[in-house]
Amino acid sequence: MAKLPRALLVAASLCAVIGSYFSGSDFAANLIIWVAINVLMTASFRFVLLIGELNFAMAGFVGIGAYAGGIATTMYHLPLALALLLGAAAAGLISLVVGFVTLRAKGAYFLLVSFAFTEVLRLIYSKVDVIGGNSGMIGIFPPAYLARFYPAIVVLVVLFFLFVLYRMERSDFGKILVAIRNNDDLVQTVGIDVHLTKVWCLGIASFVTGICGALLAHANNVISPGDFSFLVAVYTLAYLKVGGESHILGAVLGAIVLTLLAQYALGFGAYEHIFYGAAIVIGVLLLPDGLFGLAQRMLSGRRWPEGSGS
Amino acid sequence: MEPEILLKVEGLTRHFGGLAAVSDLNFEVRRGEILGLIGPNGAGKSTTFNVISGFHKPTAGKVYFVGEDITGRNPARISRKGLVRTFQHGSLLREMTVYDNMLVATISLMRTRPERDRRVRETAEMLHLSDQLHELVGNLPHGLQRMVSIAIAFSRRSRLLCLDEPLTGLNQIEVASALAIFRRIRDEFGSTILLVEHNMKAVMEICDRIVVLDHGVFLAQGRPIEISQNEAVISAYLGKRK
Repeated sequence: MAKLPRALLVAASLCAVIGSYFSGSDFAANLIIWVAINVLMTASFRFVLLIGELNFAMAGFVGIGAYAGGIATTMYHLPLALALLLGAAAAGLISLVVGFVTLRAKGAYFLLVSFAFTEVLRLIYSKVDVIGGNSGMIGIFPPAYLARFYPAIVVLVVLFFLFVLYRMERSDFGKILVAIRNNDDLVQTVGIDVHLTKVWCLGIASFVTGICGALLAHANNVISPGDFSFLVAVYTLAYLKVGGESHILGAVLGAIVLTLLAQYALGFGAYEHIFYGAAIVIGVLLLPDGLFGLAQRMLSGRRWPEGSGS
Repeated sequence: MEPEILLKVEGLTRHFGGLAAVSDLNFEVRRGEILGLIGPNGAGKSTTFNVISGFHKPTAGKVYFVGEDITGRNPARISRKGLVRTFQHGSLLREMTVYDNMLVATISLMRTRPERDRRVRETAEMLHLSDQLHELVGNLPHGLQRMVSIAIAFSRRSRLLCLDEPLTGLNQIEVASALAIFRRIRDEFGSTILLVEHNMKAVMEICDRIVVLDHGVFLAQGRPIEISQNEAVISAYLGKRK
């Protein structure tokens, strides 16, 4: 990757923060929040994909983060920062236990187990009355004096954790993760405990996912079990496929573009899901390595092959 | 001076369902030697490797490494004790660069990036991979890929290197250069090598001693010249002489 985009990234981040502070309408503010949260969710989904696993439990951990954050705010009246941290910690800690048990499975098996985890959690929320059962939890607000800044806070938190995930991927730990995806037996033979490394990978990703959940709860003010079905993971997969998997910026691009486009899909009513399905199909068929790959080819000035028309 | 025993395999048995892949195998590897483990296809060589390196648990028997019982330990722990193995079919991280392949191998060994970096560059120098450090392994020709898998194992400077058919598919020049590297690894770094290989010419040329398996059973052991004249070994490979 060229070094050029760094200045561009800083500028874009600044614009996002400042823009979200001055966003006039409620709708614009909410849109910025949704986009930002989806960006971070996609990045954390991609983090587990570094070890080669499609983590559908991600939707479940968003829920854990949301409910933990919601409980902290509505029942214990804790400060916002603490509520976010509790959401992240709850998701992170539970994921360590869940990962320790389930990450013995790989590929399609892990996908199914993680899918089941998400759906089981959804059923549990709906049966527990303390957290509102089927009708969910209400009144999860950021403190009034922060409400004006909330979009900017979300964007800042998201940017911070994007940076953390990016640094981790580039570190030697990140190289181990990619190595595990390539050949986990080989990684064992060079003295690395593959299972524990995978558990940590899921733990880190889920900590970040938990933050997303807590941010989401305070943005929507209402959460219910239906918000955390496996579809959340399917959407995230769509963002990633459209944006491109090879770089964290692909996750960012995909989430931004699709979340904005999906505002039109809302008008389709029950057919909304077709939009995401189509996005995955088009992304996979027409965009090798997604929008990020496309941008990379355009920036590096590579021409289309000779004879392929204008 | 009697050479110290580095690896000792005692009564090793491994069944897969009703099939005895290896039964009651005994042999030892002495410090500083190159020991060949040979036998016709299906003799149990790879199974022996898998049990020694911790990928399979033995049905019965013990494996001792530097006097310590390592039977049934997990592969990562065995590797950290100083026993590293390669795989018959590609011990490679294909989507990663040659540099990163070796870097990953040094992580559990060294704390800091500079140390790891120095080790990777030294290893690459010795295995003639310095010019390919930033190439993706999947894009390299077969001969270089074989070198990279040896480089991964060797970058740990382990006491014992277990190489599973490292010469497969190499041409004569590449075989010669690989053998020269094995000798340097042994002579300059004091590593011991346990070699599974089908290239008999190379095995006879480089090994100090050879252990022969057939159908999971110990058949013979001795110096290359003894093995090449051993009646039992010849009939295992070529069939009985009438």
